[in-house]
Order: sequence, then structure tokens, then C-alpha cells
Amino acid sequence: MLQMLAWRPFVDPIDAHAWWFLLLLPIAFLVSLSWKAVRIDDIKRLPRPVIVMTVQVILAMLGLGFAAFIGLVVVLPILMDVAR
Amino acid sequence: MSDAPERPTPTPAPEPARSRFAPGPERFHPVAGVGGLLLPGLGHVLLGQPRRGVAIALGVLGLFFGGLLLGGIDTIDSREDRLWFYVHAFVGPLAFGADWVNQNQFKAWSMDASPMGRLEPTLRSSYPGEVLVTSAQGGSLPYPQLVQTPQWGSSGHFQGRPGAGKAVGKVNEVALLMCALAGMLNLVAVLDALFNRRRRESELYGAGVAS
Repeated sequence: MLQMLAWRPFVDPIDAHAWWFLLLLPIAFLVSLSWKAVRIDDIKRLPRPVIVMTVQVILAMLGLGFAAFIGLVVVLPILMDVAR
Repeated sequence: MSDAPERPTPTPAPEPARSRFAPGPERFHPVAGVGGLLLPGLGHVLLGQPRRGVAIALGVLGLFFGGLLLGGIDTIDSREDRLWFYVHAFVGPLAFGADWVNQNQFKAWSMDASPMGRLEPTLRSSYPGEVLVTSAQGGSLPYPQLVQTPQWGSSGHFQGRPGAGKAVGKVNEVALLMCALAGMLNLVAVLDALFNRRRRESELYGAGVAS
């Protein structure tokens, strides 16, 4: 609690070690917003492409994470057993 | 004369109406490029595309200030994170200003052991428990200097505000990444403003949009 009171925004870091992975959501949204703002022709139709790209990025990251999990937790032990 | 039916003459397909979003001739816009480097999105505003400029600014500045909020001012550091700073710099004067504040307002000197084991003065961010001493205390301290307080093995306390905290681990990585993404996306926006072929938004949507 005392640490929270002493926190100075933009000066001290946030203790986000327990939930840092949730930052994927705003990062994916803000990257999509900037990228689509540059890419699309009709700026009035910006929201839909931004939402679609945000969802694509999040799903891609989840897929990569799942693939890494399968590789490290399932496939690698099997390969190690085969190599023995 | 033959009775064969006349072959219908092919009628040319109607040309598709030229989209109002079709790109115009390629032109070079140096003022817009410089504007985009000065402030994210400003280049597109100068090109008469304010909605696009605002969207770019929201994205780039959201990432940049989000990274600063997450990792603190020490995220932007041209001395200790030089390679990262080369990317952060594309955000423009904001990144250089944040670096200046970090170097001049929060970092200070400390006598630290070098890799060779010698004690050398090092300009660095503060560690937990250190304060930034900006005036001579105890008669012998050069200043500004980072000092652990209370001193180990003594009851002497030093007066000063704490320096900027240093983010570590995943928080530091994500904060650096957010500011780097802001820099890279602003570079994309600056290049788009430099070689922009789009029409002004007032021409596309009517004069009211620019106001």
C-alpha cells in the first residue's frame, strides 16, 4: 500500500509482473489503429479494419504461444526420450 | 449474299467509374515529412487529412506514453539503452525530451565497481533505497549523487528525493517494446506523409470535415 502511494506516474514503473501479458490487448489495438490509419483509403471506415486487425493480432499471438507450449512441453520431451 | 445472322458487334464494356479514393500523381511533401517527425500525425494534418492525422497520433502517442507509464521515465534512455533509443527517436522531440528529463533530472553519479573491479563514477538510474542528493551533505559529497540511505553500518541519513525507479524483467521489456513500436509506426506515417498521393479530406467528404 505504501509503495502504491509513493508511485509517481511516468517516473516510476508499474508493478505489472503479474498481468503483463494483458498488455497485449492495448498494444494490438494501438498498433492496428496506427497501421490502418496509414493504409486504408477511406478513413471514415477506420473502426472495422482496426477491430479486425486487433483480433487477428491477438489470435496470432495466442496461436504462437500455444504452438510454443506444445513444442516445449509435449514435443521436446518426446524427442528427448527418443534420443536416449 | 449469305443468310447467316449478323454477328453482334461487341460493345465495349463500360469503364468503371474512377474511385474518388484513387491515388493521385506521386508528389514529394517535405514539409509534411518534417511535421510528422515533429509531432506524430502532424504531417497528415498539414496535407489536409486531419482525421488520418488524429488516428495516427492516437496510436503512436498512445503507445509511447503507455510505454512511459508502464516502465517509467527510465524507459527512454540514450545512454543505457542506446540501441533501443535509435528506434524511440523516431517519435520525435517527445522522445528526446523524455531522454533529456531522464538524464538531467533523475539520473545521477554513483561510485560503482567497474568490470575490472575498480570504483569509478557512473551516471545511472537509482536503485531501491537510494536518494538523489543535490546539495553537499556531510561536507564531502560531490553532487548530484545517488546515495543509499541510511548508509550501511551507520545511522547517517541523507536528504533527497528518490530517483526514477528502474523497471526490470517483463515490465521493462514490454515498456521498451511499446515505445519502439511507437517509433517504428511513426516512421511509417512520416514516409506516408512524404510520398502521399491521397486527396484532401475536404475534397473527399466535403468541406465540413476539415473544420
